[in-house]
Amino acid sequence: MSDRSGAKTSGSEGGLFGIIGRVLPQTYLLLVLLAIIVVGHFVTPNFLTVRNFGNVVAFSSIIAILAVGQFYVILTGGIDLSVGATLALSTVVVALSLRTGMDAGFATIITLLACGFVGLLNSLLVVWVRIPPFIATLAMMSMVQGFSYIIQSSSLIEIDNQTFVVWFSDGRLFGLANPVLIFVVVTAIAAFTSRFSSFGRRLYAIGGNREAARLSGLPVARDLVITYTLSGVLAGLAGLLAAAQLLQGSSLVGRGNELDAIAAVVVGGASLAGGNGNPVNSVIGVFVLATIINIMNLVGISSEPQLVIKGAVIIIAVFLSSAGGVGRISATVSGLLGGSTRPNSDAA
Amino acid sequence: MTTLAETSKPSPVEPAEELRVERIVKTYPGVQALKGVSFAVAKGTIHGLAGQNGAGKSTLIKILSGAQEPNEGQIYLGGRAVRFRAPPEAQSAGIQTIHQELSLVPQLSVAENVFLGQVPLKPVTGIVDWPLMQRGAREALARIGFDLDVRKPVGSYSVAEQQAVELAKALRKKARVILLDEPTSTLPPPDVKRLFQVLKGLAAQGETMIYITHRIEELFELCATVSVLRDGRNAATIETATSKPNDVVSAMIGKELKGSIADIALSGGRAPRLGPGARGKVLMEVASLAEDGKVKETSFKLYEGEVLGITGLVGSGQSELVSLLAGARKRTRGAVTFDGKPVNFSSPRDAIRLGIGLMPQDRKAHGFVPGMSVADNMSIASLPMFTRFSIVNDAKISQTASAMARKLEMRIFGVSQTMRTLSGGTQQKCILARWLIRSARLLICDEPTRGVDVGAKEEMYKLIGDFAKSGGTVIIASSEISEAVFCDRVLVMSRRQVVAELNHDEIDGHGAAIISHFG
Repeated sequence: MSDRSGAKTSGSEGGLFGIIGRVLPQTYLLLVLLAIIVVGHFVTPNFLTVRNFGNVVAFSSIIAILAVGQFYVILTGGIDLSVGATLALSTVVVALSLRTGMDAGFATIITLLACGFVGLLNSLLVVWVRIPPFIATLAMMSMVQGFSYIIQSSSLIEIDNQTFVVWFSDGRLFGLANPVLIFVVVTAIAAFTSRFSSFGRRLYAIGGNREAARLSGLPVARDLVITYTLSGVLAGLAGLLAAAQLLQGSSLVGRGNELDAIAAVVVGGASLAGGNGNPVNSVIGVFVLATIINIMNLVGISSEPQLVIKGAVIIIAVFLSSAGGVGRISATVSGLLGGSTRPNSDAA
Repeated sequence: MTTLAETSKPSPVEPAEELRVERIVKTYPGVQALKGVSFAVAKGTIHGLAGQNGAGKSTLIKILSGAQEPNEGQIYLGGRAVRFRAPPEAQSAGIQTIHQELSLVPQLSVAENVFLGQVPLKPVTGIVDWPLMQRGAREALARIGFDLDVRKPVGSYSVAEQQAVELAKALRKKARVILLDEPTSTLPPPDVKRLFQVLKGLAAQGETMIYITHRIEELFELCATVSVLRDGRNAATIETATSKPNDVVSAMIGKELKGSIADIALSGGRAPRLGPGARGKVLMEVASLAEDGKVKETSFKLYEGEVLGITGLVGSGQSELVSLLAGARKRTRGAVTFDGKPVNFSSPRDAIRLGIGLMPQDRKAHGFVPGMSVADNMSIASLPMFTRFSIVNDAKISQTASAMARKLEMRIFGVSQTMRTLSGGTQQKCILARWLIRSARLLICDEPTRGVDVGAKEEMYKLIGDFAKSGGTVIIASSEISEAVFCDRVLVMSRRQVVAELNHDEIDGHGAAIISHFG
């Protein structure tokens, strides 16, 4: 059909708009974070200080690690509600292990294995027993909470192993606090994996259309098992940071953290239907929420209004990103400019 | 055939004219989808609307049904100028649309669906007037000759019956014009016949309809006049009494199609073979293969290089059978050998490893990842080929995909374009490319041209033929007889069972030899 061949020649234009379209939702999130920081600076002088910055990052690193694991699960179209409970389990297991006089390295490995096992159970429930992820991980959350409480057997277990505390809380490397370093490394690996690895590509396909992925020969079951297990391991890692910060193991920590992680992922532009988003944006989502809460703390807003504002922020952020707010606004703008953002063939 | 210049001449408004569309223009950002389309529909007639994907049919439907507003132009309904800002306005004015994908709630009863959104309430108490609703639904269905239990959920009825419910729903409202968007695309032939009787009956009762379809022969059976759109313009207005189906197709694609596959299919001549034919070596042997409730025991041999058709009415089991062969479903019994070795596929992955690629029937739901790029969709089945140390080589993917897009003459901006923005035919080509990149030996096509327009159909047949000529083997599962006639050999299925095997030479151009085995 010669009459349509003109469509091909305009490829460069489509490519340019394509790039803008892809970059815009991501940069907007950074702009939002920057705007919040600027507002914070004007609202309270205590905000832009090294000390406060350290506080925000230390507080955020735990949720950021959870959010990275959660992102991968959400990318596949699933959800993991058990990560908060797994985080608590992690603190209890590591505290108990250290109490027996175990070496810090050993205790760390055992803890991560235990938490990975929780993730593995989640994946088996989802893949093999075929229970929807929401239900499977909700049930797992309850079981893990109960199990942590049972093995804990006392109100809390103190941690006095200095090696462990240095590793996961007090130590510094290359001028960075260890928790920050850990979460930066985790985020970097996740970002690289999602963008460049075959595993990442497969997860986008599975989340985008699971049946098409299966019919294309992707190892869907295996990849889901890896994803949920990874989420468990990362929750365990987050738990190690929490245990080292709190100097204790307790089945009560981490309550509600799964929701913070999910909120961050969604604020970061990922859709709960799966198939889009990226881990860096999820981490930025964590910082957006954490910074706002930090500012409200500094200003002296009490915790109840904070909850209201946090909820509003989530709604606005999701409107702008995954609900297509940015897309709608930029479509209007490019419509006014008369730019071409869609192919002219077959669009009707 | 008249040209655009003649049709757009102002003509006196006849009293019998129910709908008139004048110079409709619709512009999307960067695209002019409609560039001044005009046509008129006389009361009590069925007006055909034809055109390839992208010609502007869908946009026109959206405008007539009130989903979108035109930038220019005017719509007259019964001689009065009308303007719709939302679908309810079009509906209350009397334009009822029956979309390709039915808008029924499967869990609700037939009666509730017929009255959807306008449930009758009893006076004073305000509770639902069930007797009135059921009587109304029964009456509306009776008008089109259907007798269903209106208390049963819609989901428990066949597609044809669901369509009748949709039609009854439209008729119960004030319907001046009924838009029918490809109503036969999922109907088996006997039901199509019945639907046509219903539509002709309604026309005789004075109902006015616009009928949109890809199937040219349907236009000639139903419509007196057909408006053909091409690139957002009126390409021709054709009186079916004095024209041939070829005229419509020529107007649609804008060139003569003498000697093309579509031409042969439409004229009823003996169909050519798509490929070079079997080479004598058995590629796959199927012995008593069965899946309980889906496919009864089936045995056949597939020869290297041949194009094997498996045909039957919709739901006769051909789709399930080929899914079994591709590992997409699991067999209950039977044995399959591939290359002389026994195989038992527990997933499509196993089949793909042996070089078997499936083009699934439901392209949108099973064929591709809509949010991913063309390049990613093409390479998804061959990721290891593009991966070193688990890092994907995007440059190589993009290079391979671009080469494939050129080879298959895909109309895209570039391989980074997202899949969901493409037409059905282009999407189908991308899925074909997936298996070409994978160097598949056996291509299993389940309804390869469903929802694909005439021009793209032609290209798809050619590409499948090219695949066979380059040494590949093809299985085509199809409910379209016009597709089966091109195959080297055809297995005919009826009631989930293979009932006949025909060689190419035994099949006439109209496929009467195949149809005689349906039932």
